[in-house]
Amino acid sequence: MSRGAAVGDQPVDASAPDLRPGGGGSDLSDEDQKDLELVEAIRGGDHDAWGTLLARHQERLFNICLRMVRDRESAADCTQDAMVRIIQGLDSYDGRARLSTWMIRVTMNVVLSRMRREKVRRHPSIEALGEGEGRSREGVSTRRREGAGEPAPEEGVESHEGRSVVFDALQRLSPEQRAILILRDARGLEYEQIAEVLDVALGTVKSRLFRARAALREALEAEGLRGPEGGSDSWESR
Amino acid sequence: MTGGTYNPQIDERLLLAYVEGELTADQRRGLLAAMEADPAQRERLEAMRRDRAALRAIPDEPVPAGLLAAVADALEREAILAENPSPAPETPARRQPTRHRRPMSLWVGPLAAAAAVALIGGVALLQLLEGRVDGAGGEVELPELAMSDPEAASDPAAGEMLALRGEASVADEGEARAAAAPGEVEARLARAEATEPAWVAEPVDAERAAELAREGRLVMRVRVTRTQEMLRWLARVDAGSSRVALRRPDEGLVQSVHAWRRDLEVRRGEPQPPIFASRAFEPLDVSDLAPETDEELRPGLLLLEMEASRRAIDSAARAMERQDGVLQVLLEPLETPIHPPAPGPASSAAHEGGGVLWWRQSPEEWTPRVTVPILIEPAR
Repeated sequence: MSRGAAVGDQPVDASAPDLRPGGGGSDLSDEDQKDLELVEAIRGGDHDAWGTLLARHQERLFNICLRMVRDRESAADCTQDAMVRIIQGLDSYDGRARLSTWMIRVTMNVVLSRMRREKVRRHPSIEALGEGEGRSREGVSTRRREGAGEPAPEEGVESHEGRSVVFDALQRLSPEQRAILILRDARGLEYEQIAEVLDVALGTVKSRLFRARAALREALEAEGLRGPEGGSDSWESR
Repeated sequence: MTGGTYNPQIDERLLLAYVEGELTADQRRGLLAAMEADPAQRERLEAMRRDRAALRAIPDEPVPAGLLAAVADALEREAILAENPSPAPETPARRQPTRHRRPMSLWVGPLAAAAAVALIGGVALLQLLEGRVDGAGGEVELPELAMSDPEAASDPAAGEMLALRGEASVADEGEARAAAAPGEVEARLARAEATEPAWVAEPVDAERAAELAREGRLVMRVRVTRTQEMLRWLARVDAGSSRVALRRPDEGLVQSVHAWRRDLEVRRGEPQPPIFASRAFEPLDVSDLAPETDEELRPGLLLLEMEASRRAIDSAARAMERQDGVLQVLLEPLETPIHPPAPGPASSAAHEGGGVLWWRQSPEEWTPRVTVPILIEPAR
């Protein structure tokens, strides 16, 4: 693999590679450079740097998890698990990918693994739900959840309602399709970064992305939702 | 779609490039011309473009409070489990219940040290805001601000700050909870020094706070430490609507909301009154805070235009709730209002192009707003 070492569910390499730009770290933005400085500081024994590093990325990672699993509680659990793995696996980060990309990769591995476990656990009860309910190809109910995992009213019910249209449609997609749309659209990753995160070839990213977009369209149409007609503001709440 | 030479792989990439907006103008025209015979497919592609825009427009949500502390918890548990390997949990890291989290060691240890420093300032400020100090075991009246701050004597805002503290002696029965009873100062200070957070109550409730806000007599005392925490809170004021933006949206109708800030200098460890470190209120520029930097927040007095409704005040307060369920905000009455600086060429220029927050909504939904002073205190 030509990317940062995997952590997620995979063994970690305990070596601590050179992170200096040039080992794949060219074209570093200021943010990337700051990340690498923090990594060096951590490896040099500065444990204060952990808090800074995670604080810089926590919102990004949490929102990836939130879009994948939808409810805040599960998303917080996923983010926490991912951060623990990031801390435990930092020694395996070899600097060939941007640190932010590597962290997203770890996070996505955690989320996808969790979703697979949940799918296995949930399958019998899903079967027992009965017929007539919308169900994705993976057997996960697409019934609009009325309150499950919803934020408390003071946390923005109105905003949640506004977004639930897209979120509902996303739930109909496979986790992998959801992942690629989230990485591309919600996080704005380039194709190459998505390839690094998902550990697939560049061509595969493009073909999967197009199919994921087509699947999302089908999901919206299947629920009788034509989607935004007048631009992105149509999805806004209220 | 492209006649007898249809190649799904090539076509998919071309279509994807169209949806992603990666085609040149010529390529785009060529593709659209090729699809003239298939209007349904063309409409489908346009819908995919709109779907893409919609996905990109979904705003990020704030991170649950205490997430990093929970990570530290998990690491500490794992460290303990590594030393005492049985019984092993099913999964290595689980988030703990949201209440009664204890301070963690590990990498948050140094942060705790920093927080301890802030605690000193916080306690001092708490003393000052109680309207009393205890220099030698007994209560004495707070020295006049002008005694410590040469500029305060001629500074109306400094006088307003005194009024803020003076409210602690309000005898009105309806607001009696806001006034420190004998012994209450010591009790609150004792709580401030304890491990658990001290702010557990709102001296006035949201309903009363809204009334006070409409009279210009509400002050919100909030405890935040980091700029990002402050930004997240600002984005959740007014019911946490997702339509709140920290940057002026490119399109759509917006109600802009302004804020001003005045820095305070807190002499840590000394029972000094807060001193204004800046000479006047300045328009708050969130670009100083956003987007990626997360710095220690300076104590200060913020004037924010807010909706003076119970719902909005309650939402703003609840948005300051920590993971352990403790509100980091106190709603208290002011004796006299604190007014924002009068609009002038300087402040207008500073706010050119909009406000500090933007609500995406049509004008008929715009809500009247009042200026609410928000005292930013060091958090622990």
